Amino acid sequence: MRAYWQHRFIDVRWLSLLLVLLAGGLLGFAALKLVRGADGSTGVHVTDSRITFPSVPRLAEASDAIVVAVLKGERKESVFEPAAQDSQHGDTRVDVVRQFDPIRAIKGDRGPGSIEVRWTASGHYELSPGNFDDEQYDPLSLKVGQTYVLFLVKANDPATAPYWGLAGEPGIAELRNDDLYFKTTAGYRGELAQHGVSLGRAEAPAAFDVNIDMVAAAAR
Amino acid sequence: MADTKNPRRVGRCSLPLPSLSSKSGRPSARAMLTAWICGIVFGGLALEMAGASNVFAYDDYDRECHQPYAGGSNYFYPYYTNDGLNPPGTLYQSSFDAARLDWNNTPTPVWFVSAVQPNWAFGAKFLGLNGKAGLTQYTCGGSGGAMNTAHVWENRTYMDGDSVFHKQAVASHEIGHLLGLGHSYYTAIMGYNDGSFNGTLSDDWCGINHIYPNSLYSPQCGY
Repeated sequence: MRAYWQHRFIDVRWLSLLLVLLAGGLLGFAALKLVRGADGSTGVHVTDSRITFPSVPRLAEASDAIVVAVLKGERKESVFEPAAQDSQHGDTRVDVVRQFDPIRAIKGDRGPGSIEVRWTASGHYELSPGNFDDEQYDPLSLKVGQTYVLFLVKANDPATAPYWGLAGEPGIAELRNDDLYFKTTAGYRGELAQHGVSLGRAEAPAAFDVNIDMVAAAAR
Repeated sequence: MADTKNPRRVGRCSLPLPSLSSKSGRPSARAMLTAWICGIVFGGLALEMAGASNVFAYDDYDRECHQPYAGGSNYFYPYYTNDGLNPPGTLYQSSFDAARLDWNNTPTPVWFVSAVQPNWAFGAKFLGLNGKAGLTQYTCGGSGGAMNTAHVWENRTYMDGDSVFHKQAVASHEIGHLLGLGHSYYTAIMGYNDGSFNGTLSDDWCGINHIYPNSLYSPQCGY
């Protein structure tokens, strides 16, 4: 009887070893998945192309509106995009919709009152029936009550009302003592590092170390 | 203490086989710790191997997915289906046509073959305000791991309001991804673009000739 239980005890220990090994593997897998971002859920490989700007004048030129505004709050909104040919297989994305109270317009007519600005946080994109990929985007961490300079483009998407969004990267900066401190995604900064481009005082190249007067001059 | 006389090794990780167990026949704390660390490493390596890519001047994202379609001995023939219905009646179709012709005219073995392939399309759709001008999706389920499904998308969210010139630039860029190119460090359709050109340049050709070696074309890249 004792030998039986001793045998079972040893089995349990080996089982626990196996479980530890599996748990370790899952942890490693999950950790790298977290670092890399979740994609390829069904074996779909993805490459994408970031919209970037080399300087403030180029960013200002590409922006439909440039606004200085205070962040009041944000919410998430799910958007369904029907496919053009087959509405059964449309895409779904989640946008972060942020409300700003403008305090100064530098370029463009952004309309009266507060302004809503979208940034897509994730997307479920169909490749073909049964084949899709789930993309996670850096939502950019912003602070309620902080003043930002927004470089905006107007998008006309039939799935939603026309809305404002960031022109690309860098596309938003904290305003502190008239100086801009750009906020960018980890992916953008990673590409800069890969290209040997060092950052300036914030999360963008030194060419973006500007003040608000320089932005206004570039927008003229 | 663990018996470490004859550990079986894979790389630097000792697999927790019986030789690592204690005399009592149960795994020791050290064996448990080794198993934990190895599990993490192997789990990570498995993912790395699944998504590995080498970085060149022109990155090659296509390492684990073989060339889309090779129909001849000297030329490289990827399928080309201009999904003109997606969206209908827009300038994306002509942009993709121009981009495809530009790639065909490069000193590379690339020659796009027009074919009606539902899983092989160039088009445009609303991908959201994600800061991306385009997206290329593909799967590697063909014979020998070949690319068997591919869609090249322009992001209408940004590109609808942009010029035909820039639409073609994005189309050429995304087609470069389809062919296996990543982003270049140099002035190229796959790299830095100040907006003054919308077609391929020598660095792009070098990348293609590097990925698809061909006796007729030499990469001739000094880097």
